[in-house]
Amino acid sequence: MNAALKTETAKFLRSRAPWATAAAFLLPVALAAIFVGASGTPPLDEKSQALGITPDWPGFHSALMQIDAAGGFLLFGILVTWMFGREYSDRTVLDLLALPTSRTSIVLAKFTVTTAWLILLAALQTAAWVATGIMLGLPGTPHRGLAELLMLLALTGALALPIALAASAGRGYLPGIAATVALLVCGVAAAILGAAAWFPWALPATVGGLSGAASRPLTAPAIAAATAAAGIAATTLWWRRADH
Amino acid sequence: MIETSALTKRYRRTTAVDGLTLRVEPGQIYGFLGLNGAGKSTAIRMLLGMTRPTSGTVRLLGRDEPDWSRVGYLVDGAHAYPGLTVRENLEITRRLRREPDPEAADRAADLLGLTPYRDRRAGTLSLGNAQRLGLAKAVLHRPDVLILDEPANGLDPLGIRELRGILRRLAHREGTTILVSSHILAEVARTADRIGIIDRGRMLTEFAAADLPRCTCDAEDLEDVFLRLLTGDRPEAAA
Repeated sequence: MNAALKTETAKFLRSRAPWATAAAFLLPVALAAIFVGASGTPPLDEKSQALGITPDWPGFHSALMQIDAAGGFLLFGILVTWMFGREYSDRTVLDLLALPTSRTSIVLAKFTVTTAWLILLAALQTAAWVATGIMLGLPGTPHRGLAELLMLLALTGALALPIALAASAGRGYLPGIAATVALLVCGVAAAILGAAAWFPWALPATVGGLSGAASRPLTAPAIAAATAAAGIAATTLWWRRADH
Repeated sequence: MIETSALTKRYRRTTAVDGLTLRVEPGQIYGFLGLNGAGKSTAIRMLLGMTRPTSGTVRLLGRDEPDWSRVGYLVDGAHAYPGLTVRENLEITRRLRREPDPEAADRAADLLGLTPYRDRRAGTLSLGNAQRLGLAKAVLHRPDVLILDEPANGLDPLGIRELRGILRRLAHREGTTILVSSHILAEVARTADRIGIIDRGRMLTEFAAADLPRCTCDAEDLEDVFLRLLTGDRPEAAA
């Protein structure tokens, strides 16, 4: 596991992915700041306020949550797709299959590096959100929205992990991207229809408030964790047993 | 040692490999030949555990589940992480193959003539040097079994000669068991100790390379033997 982890870390850090994803994760904060700035300016003020975006910390929080509920999943999905799909696109996957380092170790190392980076991205975005709000001089304090934002990012990240199976079984980037978009669209639709209880990918839209008033089902962390675990197990099994 | 017994792989209605039995002795270079689609790559993937046989067995180094740290391979062309340097790619291979010698990556680069390119990104290498990198990854840990699918692809004549020297040295001095699949028949005739030709997944014939002049009757060379065997019932193809 140690060799696989060192290898996956080196491959990740030497790629453009860290910078690209970090920049992409700052974009929602910038967009939310623009919405908040526009919320006090006609003619956008009415539209912004209808979405719950007001020129204060709760409004800034609401804007970022709504953007992250869709965009966050998209970005996390792309990152997971890249981690697994690149081995097929670069055709390096065969170099990982007949080794003293087991396929399970390699897959788990990929998930470990991905999860670690997702956590860092969540921390980066949260810090950027607080710093931007302070710079904008928003009234109030951000502390009430912090836990909700971190929970949304944790749920979104966990629910993106099973996309690794699509990128692996589909042998490339395209199936992973397609799965990400399909899950995102179906998740928003399920949230709007009130079907979040049976479709885990509806949770980001539900928690983020995309389907109306934001709500936080108590079972959300357990559902997301179980979905992530199932995705990790299925991906590992696929790497171990599929014909390559 | 490499052994297969009645190795078979079926995909729905297609039989890619059909009862293949072969044996490569320690220190032997085995030329594994066949037309495109004959089943060579599928057989090689089964040897390496990348594809599960429908039936039959594979044994490497005398074991069903070999010690993979003693096996090296180059399959489906030479590919590397394009954003990493030659040295970094070799270092990744060294770690994953659990080769303890920290000098192994530099030694492999040196063996394959890649020392001047060590700090170049793999994505910027020429086809020939990318192939050399693939070969360096395959031999970096001094394997006891080496399986190479089209190792001479993209190599210039000097590279092909160097590869021949490396394979001969590994097999005949260090006792490495080598299976090589190639379409460059003249090179296989010069390098291999034993040659097997498969067609439609089945072993058509096997012979010692030294017996080539005797076993070929009026055939001029390995290419002549190969084409006569494989297009015997299709004379227009041979023409």
